[in-house]
Amino acid sequence: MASAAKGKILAVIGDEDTVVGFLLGGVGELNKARKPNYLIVDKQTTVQEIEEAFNGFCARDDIAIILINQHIAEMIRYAVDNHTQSIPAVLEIPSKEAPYDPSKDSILNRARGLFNPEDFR
Amino acid sequence: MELIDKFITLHDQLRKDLNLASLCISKAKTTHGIGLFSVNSVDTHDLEPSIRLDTKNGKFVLLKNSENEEEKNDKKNKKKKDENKSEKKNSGESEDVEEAKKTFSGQFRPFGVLEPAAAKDARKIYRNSIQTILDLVSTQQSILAKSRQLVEDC
Repeated sequence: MASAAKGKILAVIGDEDTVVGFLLGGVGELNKARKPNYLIVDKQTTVQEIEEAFNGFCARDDIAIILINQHIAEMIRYAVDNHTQSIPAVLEIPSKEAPYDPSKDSILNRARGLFNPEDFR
Repeated sequence: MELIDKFITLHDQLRKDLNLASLCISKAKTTHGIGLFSVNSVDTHDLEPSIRLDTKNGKFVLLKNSENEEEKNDKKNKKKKDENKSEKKNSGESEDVEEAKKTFSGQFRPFGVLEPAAAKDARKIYRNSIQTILDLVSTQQSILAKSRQLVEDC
């Protein structure tokens, strides 16, 4: 209730540059339980850790939007596809090294059956 | 299809903004050192978000106090600068830095209080990109709603 009264926040899962950038933008938070709203994914980060972080963010009631680099979303595509709730919304974003590909976007793929796939390219 | 077009257009805008911001971050790293830019090397124990959201009529919007706080901070910063100039003869650097630290409490500042111009630019670009992201997510929600509606109609 307290978090709803003062609004919700964004969460970020991405490479270091992406996460640091959004922290600069004022997105970062370390809540009372000492849990951050971001996960930096590097070479040592396992798929399990990414999935746990994603599921953890989805379960939090103070997070409205989850930003995730698309190449990282690909690593846990099954988890992203299984997330069907409207809040938190999951938005795939490009990274410095991996541009955004609409054909891989989970949301657009859900709508693909209703539109011409060629229009996505 | 209009929603899809809008979604792609907004994504292109976001890509451009993030590319520009990445360039600014690279500049800041080059001039001030890569190590400073690591989250692990910065004390984040009091990190607080200055951006908060709400949902109204299926759309994501920035809370007004988030915008007001930012404006207030900008005004405070300007005021601080003016005061610092007039008090330059009387006050030491440590006092100025301490005052600035209070103003920026809770913010993520890997380069410290006196951050380089490139980092300031990056901060501004990322902050402005939040509105694009909100528009993207709102459009995304509209696409999903339309998809569900079409499925039900079929």
